[in-house]
Amino acid sequence: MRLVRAELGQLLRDARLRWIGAVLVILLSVALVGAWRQAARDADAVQRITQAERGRWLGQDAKNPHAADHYGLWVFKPSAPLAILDPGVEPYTGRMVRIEAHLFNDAVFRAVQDANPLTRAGLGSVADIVQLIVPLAVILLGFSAFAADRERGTLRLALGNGAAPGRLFTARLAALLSALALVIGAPLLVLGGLAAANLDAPGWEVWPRLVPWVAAQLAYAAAFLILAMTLSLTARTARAALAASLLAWVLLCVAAPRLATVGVEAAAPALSYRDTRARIDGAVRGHRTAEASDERAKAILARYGVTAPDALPVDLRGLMSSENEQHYFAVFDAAFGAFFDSLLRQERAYAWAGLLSPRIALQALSATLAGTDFPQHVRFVWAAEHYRRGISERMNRAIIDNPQGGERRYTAGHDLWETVPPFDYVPMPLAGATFAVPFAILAAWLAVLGGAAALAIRRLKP
Amino acid sequence: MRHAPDPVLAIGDVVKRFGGRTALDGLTLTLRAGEVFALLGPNGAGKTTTINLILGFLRADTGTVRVCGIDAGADPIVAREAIAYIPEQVALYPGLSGRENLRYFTTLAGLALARDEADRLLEQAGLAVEAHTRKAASYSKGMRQKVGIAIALARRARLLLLDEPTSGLDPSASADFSSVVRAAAARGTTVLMATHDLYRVKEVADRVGVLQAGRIVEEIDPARLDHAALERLYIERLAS
Repeated sequence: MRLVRAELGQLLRDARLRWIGAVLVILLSVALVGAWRQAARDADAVQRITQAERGRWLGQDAKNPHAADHYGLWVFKPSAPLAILDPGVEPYTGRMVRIEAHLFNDAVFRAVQDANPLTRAGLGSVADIVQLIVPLAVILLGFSAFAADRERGTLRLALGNGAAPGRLFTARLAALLSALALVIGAPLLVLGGLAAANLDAPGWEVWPRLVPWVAAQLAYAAAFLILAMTLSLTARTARAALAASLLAWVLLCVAAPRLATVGVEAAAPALSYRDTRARIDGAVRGHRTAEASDERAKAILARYGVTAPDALPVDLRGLMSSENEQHYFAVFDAAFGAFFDSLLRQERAYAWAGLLSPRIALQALSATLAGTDFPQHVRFVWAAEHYRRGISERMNRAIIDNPQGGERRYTAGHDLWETVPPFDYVPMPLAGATFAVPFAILAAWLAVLGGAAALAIRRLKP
Repeated sequence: MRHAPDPVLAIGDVVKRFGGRTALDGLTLTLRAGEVFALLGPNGAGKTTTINLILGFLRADTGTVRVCGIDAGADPIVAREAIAYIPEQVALYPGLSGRENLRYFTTLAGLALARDEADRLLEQAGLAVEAHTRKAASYSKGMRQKVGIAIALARRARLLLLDEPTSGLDPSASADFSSVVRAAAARGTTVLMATHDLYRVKEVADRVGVLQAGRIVEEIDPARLDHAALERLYIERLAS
């Protein structure tokens, strides 16, 4: 501890720490507060529109339930509170789905459509700053840890007078990590905690997510710190250590994610969205022909042992509509199931690509912990679809149970609309999230870099 | 039967080559507790290489280097625990004062040094009191050397390695240095001093080894010679 205190004392004298620390705190705080304000505005808008939609649904005129099914309504995915730290895929996937008869609609309301230039440049969120800027800051703090001493000659004096390289490395690492915990961990935990608690909603498990999320960011920073310090152990000069560290940053933070994306697309190609929609359209069109419809009507009459629709104890159109929906459900399940499965396979492959770069591992881990990863979106899409199916089934059931014929026309009113519950999205719990692979890979990066540092320490020469 | 204690430094038939050049060619040297040994030799004779081998900064191609019985090549960190070292150019942290440098370097070595104790050691090394709190950036070479001496004294090591310790020191500082070395030896510290300074060698060394082309070609008892004779012998040895 005495040595760590001494190293902290040395560090605090270094103007670099003050400047870099101040810049990081400002960058992170500005990004976080900006995201917090935007999230609060969005949450307010979502709440207002959701209430208005509910009112619109309940306040609709008396009409045939099938017309009500087409009348439809909008449902929203509540934004994950930790999206203010890592928006993950949320800005790109949409948070609002139109629920209506027969249609599996895409989610809209994509934040990226209204993004500012900084966000479009990939530097708008706290996670962007941590993933791209923090490693640079860490390199600027760590590159001189040993190389500057070697250049100055103080390393020779220290080692020749009994300084143990391992203890020295550990103490310097601990001092720098403490500084990073202060300038990165503290603002993220305090401001992030305040904001996330303020935006909290049932099922999001804010604190169980936030603490490991901050720990993951610090582990990522620690990986780059160990890397920079290891290069500093081996480089002849501080300038060489800085150049090597910056090269490593370019490879790991800039080049590797692009390479990984190309590799994953080749290794685990996703189904085309256009082809998926075309397959669905083909399957629906084939089912909707007049001939096919007549055949199904005849089959129903035969099943009930009657020859005319008026003789049925149920409503023929309601029954046919219900059976048609079951067919569409099966089509959607197969086509979109395969489509989303292919995207999820890509996600899993990309998580494994974390072996190429700790940034990739952190991206996957961070979004999963924040609840803004792609599986969370897929869960919402299917939750909205199941809600839609529930409404369709309820409307069709009402038609089936109230046969129409001759002059009889069935119309339903407020009582039926009220039987439709509000859309209540339950997010995927943290325990159900799949973060084992990126977590293990990030831990492996730390272990490998720690091993490399241990080797360099053993070979340390002044 | 009683065993003789391990020598503080035992160098056995060490060969060290850098590419095609042989820096040390069968160097053998044994130093016991409290001895002051001066390694004399021209530039390139292998003095600094010898010190680097003892510190474990280099590994011998063949032969052994043992410090208090510990193989300095195989276990340099443990071996260095018994060593204090003052390089020819003592480099300090320019933003720290002499006292802060001393306390920081001793902390790195795992020692806790109170402020009073640090001041006492700096005084013992000959650094003026007013300089204790001045930033090392303003120190002369001699002042930095004195802080180096204070660091070495604080370590109370069994073996003190000095690489050209008096180069750049004024006569008064050199005289102070001689008394520090003698006092350390009197406390049982073994001193190995690589130097060109024949005058200082005559004053402090118990034994002198003339190193030439990587081996000790002559061992001299300086007590038996005056300064002029020592210088003559040294020059003759180098010329032969």
